[in-house]
Amino acid sequence: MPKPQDTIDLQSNGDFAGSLDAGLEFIRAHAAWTVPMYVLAVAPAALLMLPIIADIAVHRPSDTTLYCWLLLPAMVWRWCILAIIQQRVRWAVTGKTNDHLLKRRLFPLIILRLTLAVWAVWGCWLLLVPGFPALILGALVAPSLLDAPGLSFKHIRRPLLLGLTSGSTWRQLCVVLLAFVVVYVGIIGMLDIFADTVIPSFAGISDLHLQLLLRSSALKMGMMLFIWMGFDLLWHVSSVIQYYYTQSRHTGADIQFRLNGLREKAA
Amino acid sequence: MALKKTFCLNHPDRPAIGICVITGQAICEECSTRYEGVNYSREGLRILQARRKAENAVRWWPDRFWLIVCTLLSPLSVLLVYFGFRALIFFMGLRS
Repeated sequence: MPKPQDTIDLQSNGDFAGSLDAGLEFIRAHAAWTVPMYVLAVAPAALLMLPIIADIAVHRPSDTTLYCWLLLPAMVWRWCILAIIQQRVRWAVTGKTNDHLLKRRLFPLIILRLTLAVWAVWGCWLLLVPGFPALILGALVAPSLLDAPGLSFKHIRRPLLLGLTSGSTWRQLCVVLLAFVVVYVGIIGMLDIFADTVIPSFAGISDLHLQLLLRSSALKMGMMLFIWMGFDLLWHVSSVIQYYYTQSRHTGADIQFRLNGLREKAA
Repeated sequence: MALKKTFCLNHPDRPAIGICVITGQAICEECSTRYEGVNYSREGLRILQARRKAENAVRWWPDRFWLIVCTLLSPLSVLLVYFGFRALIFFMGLRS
């Protein structure tokens, strides 16, 4: 059994504080393993993104064939490690540390996430719909598969749809994306101010190379990738808590409905 | 809300301590089985067991149809993701 401080209580202080807060608190309390594991998860993809960004910056997007192929196993690696992180969060939420279903459910998890990746990548091109639902479903795949008694679609469909149709899940995603945009725009703005004002005026130097570097699209894309990593970890941890939150709300509503039925029968 | 005093369906001389959540029958202490925090009658437990068995029964073909289809389509998914990346990179390369 996990120690009391390692568990997450969805209803500890009256109103539920929000899965993002709980996720942030979980990452802070377990930074010793969550951060290194996340770095391990994204390191191959991030390393492959660097030459891709460099190619984009020098207008040679056609030179990225090999890197794009290598990005696929890097993504599978990321999904596997993220699933391990989500399993640990699940242990903290449910208190069940003795289930080791992940090994058996890893293949369906990869297949589902691959299918959702098609949606996430092509959704914005073909359907003109950003991949928000794919982002939500992708993060909920691991808790749904680990929580399901079997691999039947009916076992997975309900929690996934419950998460997707829950307004609070969308709000959490909007908060994450908004925070990401605000941080990104803030940092890019600071870099521009630094390049335009601080370097020539205060430092008294007009280093063209440094200014070019600070204004380069490669640095901006690299910063975007780097900032997104932090929010990606937060989103994946929070989504497990959000999954159980929507489940508990649904169960609570179901119990309330049954109780009302029994009261009517008894009256 | 005042509840009527009810008696066990199987033992009419004994007062009911609860109602089976499945069958809705009034049951006494002897007939009641507390499971997962709620009361069940013997018949209710049987129905619950049958429901759970049906819910958890693994029928390989129809239940895992989605997994088989997604697995068979996975090479196509890989290609689509790859070309999606290429398209995204190409678009960003043109814009940058």
